[in-house]
Amino acid sequence: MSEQVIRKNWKAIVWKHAWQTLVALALLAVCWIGAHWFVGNELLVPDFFDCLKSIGELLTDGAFYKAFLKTLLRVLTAFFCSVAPAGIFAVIAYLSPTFRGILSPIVSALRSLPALAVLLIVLVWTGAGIAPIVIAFLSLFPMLYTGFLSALFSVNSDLVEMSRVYNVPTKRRIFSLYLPNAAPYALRESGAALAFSLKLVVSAEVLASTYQSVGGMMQEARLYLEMPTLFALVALTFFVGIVLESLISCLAYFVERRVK
Amino acid sequence: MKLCISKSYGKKRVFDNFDLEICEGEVLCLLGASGCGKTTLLNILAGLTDCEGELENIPKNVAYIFQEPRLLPNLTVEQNLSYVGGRYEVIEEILQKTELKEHRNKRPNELSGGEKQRVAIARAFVVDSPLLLLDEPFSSLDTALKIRLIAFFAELWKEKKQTAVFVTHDLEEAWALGQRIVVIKDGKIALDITPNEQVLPRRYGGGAQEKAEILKVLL
Repeated sequence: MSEQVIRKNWKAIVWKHAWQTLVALALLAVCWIGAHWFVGNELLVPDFFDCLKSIGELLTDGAFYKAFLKTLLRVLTAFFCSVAPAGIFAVIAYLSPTFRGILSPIVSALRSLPALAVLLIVLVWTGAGIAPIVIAFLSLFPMLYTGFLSALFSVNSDLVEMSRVYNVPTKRRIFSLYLPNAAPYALRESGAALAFSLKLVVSAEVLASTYQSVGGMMQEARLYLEMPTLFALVALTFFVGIVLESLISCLAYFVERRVK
Repeated sequence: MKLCISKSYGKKRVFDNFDLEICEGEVLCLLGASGCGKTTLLNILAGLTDCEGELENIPKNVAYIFQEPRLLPNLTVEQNLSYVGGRYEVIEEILQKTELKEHRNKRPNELSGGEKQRVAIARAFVVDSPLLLLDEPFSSLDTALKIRLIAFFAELWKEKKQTAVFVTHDLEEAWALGQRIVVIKDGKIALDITPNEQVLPRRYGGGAQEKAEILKVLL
């Protein structure tokens, strides 16, 4: 496919996506306004426009950015701390069925761990700043490990067999076969994991009342019954989650195009 | 090269002391009905399947032309040839001979089925392997393309005359390419013939007497 056609297709996809997102957001806003009118209680469902005003105030407040950056740092720390071992363990598990068998119950156990309940234990061991990272790691690791392992198994087994027959060196196999073919799948998993990491970290921060964090600000807003601020913080967190996931999805899309 | 092997899949015994000697430089054609163990035998020779018994002088670096082209979708034709370790000069030469030079920068999804299989054949010849294994590489192609690809294969093979083991269930293909034709039935060699006509590829449709003999065993 020519470069021009790809660019044209890409523009069409972005335009379609943006249009659909705007319609979805408008629908949400209409629902919100409708719910506010129906409930008629500012404490339960604040006015949509008051929330918009609160978003504006937050975006001009230096304290919000400080809290937001610290939360983002926790999210990224948890994410990268999970990606590295999950990647390494997935490769070992792919190569060794025994290792895969040993890890399987551990991963299953981690998957069924009630993350926020464990937070109470982790809070005793560590501080309110570290606990959200630990909790996010405990949930992200099994998710990413399973995703990466599936990505490796999604590589065409016929091509793997062909490479084996022709004694293709390992380095060449990694860079020409495994990485390009497994990367789109792994990137999609990572995108979902990053958005999930944000959700977990913010939830853990709320529970731990972490100082200088988005979750901490939410808890504070709840305590002082500043409902528009609380809703604004939730909306901003939701928006950041979508942006993070979309960025990685775009990257996965480009890699997939390059491969196929 | 010599093999005396036994192989089972669960309770099903595919080969029981199957004895075969492959002469150096010959194109040996293994013919048999589907499920008679032809591909298993090829995979044993390629080291992809385990078996009981003895394998003598089977080289470790084999070239394998599979039923499907098995090309890496993210690599161009030229990159697919260098992926298996082909040197630049050899790749150039093979691309020229297989008339793939104009497609060298294309990816597999830009090629037709016949062109893809031609790349797979070219790939087997860019590696310096003393043993070529072919697992029904022409089975999914139409007759005209099949004849053309068989000719390509024969032309490339004549250069180095490596030992080749060619598996097929198509009598015409076996006749066109086999210097020696071995018919496998019930895990044993039912017929082992060397047609008089030695020039490869043989004319499609010829060898009525040999074919009649093979059919008698197969049916």
